[in-house]
Amino acid sequence: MSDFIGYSDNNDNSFDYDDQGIHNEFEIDDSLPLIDKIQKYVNSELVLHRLYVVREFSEAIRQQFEQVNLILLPIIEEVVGDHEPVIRQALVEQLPVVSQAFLTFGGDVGYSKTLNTLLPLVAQLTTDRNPQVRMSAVEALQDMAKLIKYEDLEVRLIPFIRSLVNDTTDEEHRVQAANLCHNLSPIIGVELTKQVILPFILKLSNDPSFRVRKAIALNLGNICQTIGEKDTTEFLLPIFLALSKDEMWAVRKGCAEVLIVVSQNVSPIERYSKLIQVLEDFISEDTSRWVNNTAFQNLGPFISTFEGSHVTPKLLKYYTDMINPSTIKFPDSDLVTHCAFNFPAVLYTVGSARWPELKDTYLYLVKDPNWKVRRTLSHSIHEIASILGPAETKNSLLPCFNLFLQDLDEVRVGVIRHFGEFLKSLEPSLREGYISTLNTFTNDPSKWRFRKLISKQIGEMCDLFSLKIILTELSPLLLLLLNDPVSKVRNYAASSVGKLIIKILSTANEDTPTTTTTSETSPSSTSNNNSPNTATATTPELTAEELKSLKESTIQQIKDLGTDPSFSNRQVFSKICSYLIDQLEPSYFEANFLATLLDLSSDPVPNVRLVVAETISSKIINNKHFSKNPLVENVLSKLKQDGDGDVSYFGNLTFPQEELEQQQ
Amino acid sequence: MTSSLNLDFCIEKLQKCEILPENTVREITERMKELLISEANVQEIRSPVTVVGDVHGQFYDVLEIFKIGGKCPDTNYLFLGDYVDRGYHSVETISLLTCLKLRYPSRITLLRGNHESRQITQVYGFYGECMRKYGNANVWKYFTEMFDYLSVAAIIDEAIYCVHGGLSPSAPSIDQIRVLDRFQEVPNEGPLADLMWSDPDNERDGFVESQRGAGYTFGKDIVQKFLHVNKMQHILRAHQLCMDGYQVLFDNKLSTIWSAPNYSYRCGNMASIMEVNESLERFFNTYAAAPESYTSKPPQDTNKELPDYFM
Repeated sequence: MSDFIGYSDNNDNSFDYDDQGIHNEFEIDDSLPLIDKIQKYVNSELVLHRLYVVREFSEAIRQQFEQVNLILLPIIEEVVGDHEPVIRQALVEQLPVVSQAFLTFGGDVGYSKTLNTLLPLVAQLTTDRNPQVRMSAVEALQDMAKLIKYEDLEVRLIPFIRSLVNDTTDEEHRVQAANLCHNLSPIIGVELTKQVILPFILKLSNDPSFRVRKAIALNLGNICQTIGEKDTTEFLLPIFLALSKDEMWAVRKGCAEVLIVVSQNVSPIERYSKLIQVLEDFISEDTSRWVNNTAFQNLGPFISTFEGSHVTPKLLKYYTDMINPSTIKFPDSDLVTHCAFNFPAVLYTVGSARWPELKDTYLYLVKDPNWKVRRTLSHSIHEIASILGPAETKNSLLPCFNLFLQDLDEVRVGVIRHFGEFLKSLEPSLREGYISTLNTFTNDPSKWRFRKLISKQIGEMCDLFSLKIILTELSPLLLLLLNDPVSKVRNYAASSVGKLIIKILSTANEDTPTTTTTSETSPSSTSNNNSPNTATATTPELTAEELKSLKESTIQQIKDLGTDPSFSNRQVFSKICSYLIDQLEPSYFEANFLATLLDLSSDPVPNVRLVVAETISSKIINNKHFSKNPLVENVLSKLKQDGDGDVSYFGNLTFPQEELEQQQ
Repeated sequence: MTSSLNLDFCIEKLQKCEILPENTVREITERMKELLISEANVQEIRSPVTVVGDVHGQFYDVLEIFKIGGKCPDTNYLFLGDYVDRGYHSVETISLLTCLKLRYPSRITLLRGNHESRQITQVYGFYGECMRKYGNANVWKYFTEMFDYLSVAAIIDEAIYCVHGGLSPSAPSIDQIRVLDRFQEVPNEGPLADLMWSDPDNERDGFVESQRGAGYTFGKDIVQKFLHVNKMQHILRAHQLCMDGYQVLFDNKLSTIWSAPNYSYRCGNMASIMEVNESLERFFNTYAAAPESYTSKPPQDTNKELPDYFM
């Protein structure tokens, strides 16, 4: 793998980099002003030259609207006819941005140019002979429609779509009409969609070309969402049901793909009485593998569109049978992955009462030989636990959780990421056993991403354990992570310190300063009430005196970071302060942390001072308790004039007024 | 010329592994030359600093370095060269490092490696990558011109001598290195070439012509003498693949730092960066390849905007 001078992979040493001739013909003369460059190269023989300048259109008109707009329009009209599709595609992608410039800088005239010149060009390109150009043009037309006044939409866009709908010469035009109905319906709104688009849909759904019918099936989604439940049920559902029985499998597959969004937009009665039947037909009757597969893939999400009580046992059985190839007409290994992926949504929909119908499937899935199946389950097991509650979590899920903890890293990462959330659904007496698991993960020097995931959660985990465990286990762990060799781990750990301090303080004497009522802390006080093993939990092994001294030493160790010989610890201390200022009582912060932080403004290492500068200018000075504090003001004005440019930059950071108001 | 260059925006874009427009590359390389021309051949820098060895266009592993070592400007960095070639993302790598240097000139120092050369980059990948991503050789030309301006060595707190390759028989004193004319393509021989091409040899004393075809191998005696003559404590260099990410030789007088994990996406090696703290203590922070390095294929997405063929 070493390098050798004179060695060449292609055995060609004759290449002479000074030979300008090789590159010259492709080069663009960068010294020209943008508009001159465009004029010079827009007719170049080289596609690359033309492509290069077409992509500069929007930039040119944004920079110098007055000089450019009149020159650019004729150029645009010429480029629309370029014989290279890639140029026409680049052009149509530019046109919405160019139009925006006409609207911003061009006033009424600019609007009229957009409406009368640019909009028709984009519309024209939606029926381009090249499919990529058509695709980009449909997207561009959608963007254009957002720029056009509502009253102009009806007279400018609708006639164009109508002409495509009625175009009997080219089925591709009617396919594009279907695409446009879907893309434009959210923009033109409910009234026009009902009056104008619905008749188009009805007409196109009976089109002799199956490609048009397929396009209609695939494009029902936005229209359902625009017109809502009542009209979808009344007008679109019959169209959908007819298309779902189409003789061409491609049309039926289109229906299988939009089944979910249709289901979300019909009345519960029709969902139950009509759509279950559609799905059952796709799954058990349809002769097409593709229809069958698509329906299975969407089965879980389809179930989740129901009110729990309406999911029939038969429907649920179809879902659980996804792991059972012998019951499936066209078995496909991916179905197991879909089944696992959708499990939380299905259980959430039907509720823990139906767990007996699903349990065997779950226990089968967690042992699937495909790690991707296990990976999705390890990421969601905390959700399952929260639905099932502590008793069933202990009985059914704990063995799965333990298996995942010993699985491949790709699987393990899921349970580590949501470690605390899973423990929350576990009886308090069972939680302590998992402290050692936590230590195993943090002791592995090669897995910093695991340590990062844990350092993020330690604050929240304080709600799950007794004061003794917090002081003897979680605090030392957090201090270790604050000293981690990996910067990301230290920074996440810094964000967990506030929660730990609040917890320690709030479980001590009543007169100790406690939490402010920020949004971050309020959820924890709720879960506090639900978990019996916190706050007041007795710890017979340690006396109140011992707890008090542990508490003091923990807080002291955090404070000591600010005077540590290592600059990275002093930096971490400054970052901790930037979180604490939002979490602790101002008086407690002032008494315990402020002085050390202010001292660090004279730290010999500029990298420490710049974090201090950022903490003070972005956080401390904006806190109403400190904004008039003369010590803070002095330190900040000193940092603003620091000899190091980066320190003074961060000292001079200012924040938008509304952000400040939010913080206060 | 009025400039619309927004370095924070460029850095943000590059961190998503998106390339900068050709014009912007021209502008950052021009500005970089103006900045570098005033820097000495041998840059004097202060601890604490984190020293990085070869990265070779392994862009996601460079992002990993900032996750592990700390982001710039929280951490000071000294890069020992070999930013380009071999990896899939030389363009993004050198663009990012250039923007960081322009944005935080006192926080980051970039030295020249033997791959920061017109000749070498035509053989080992950077030239081809520029052609693929920009459709012409301009960006390659801009960067290779900029490479001529990079410093060739650095000294931390008057005590630790840092260079890409190693020592040269033609420049036993650092003062001689200070007065070399560095503003040129890396020559095939002479002191400049040696600084970027030489390797230590713990089995053979003295200087011996290197099998690489440029530079020398140098033994323990040479290192002891160099440290003594120049009143230095330690030599830090890169240039050689180490399976553990680093190697310490000659009674802890010379360290090699290698910062490209799973080099060329197949060597299976570890990588390291060296953290030098305020007391000049040295700590190797080792790491494996970033997950994205395993999954990111040669970037087809950068080709998608170009036509399928040329006529």
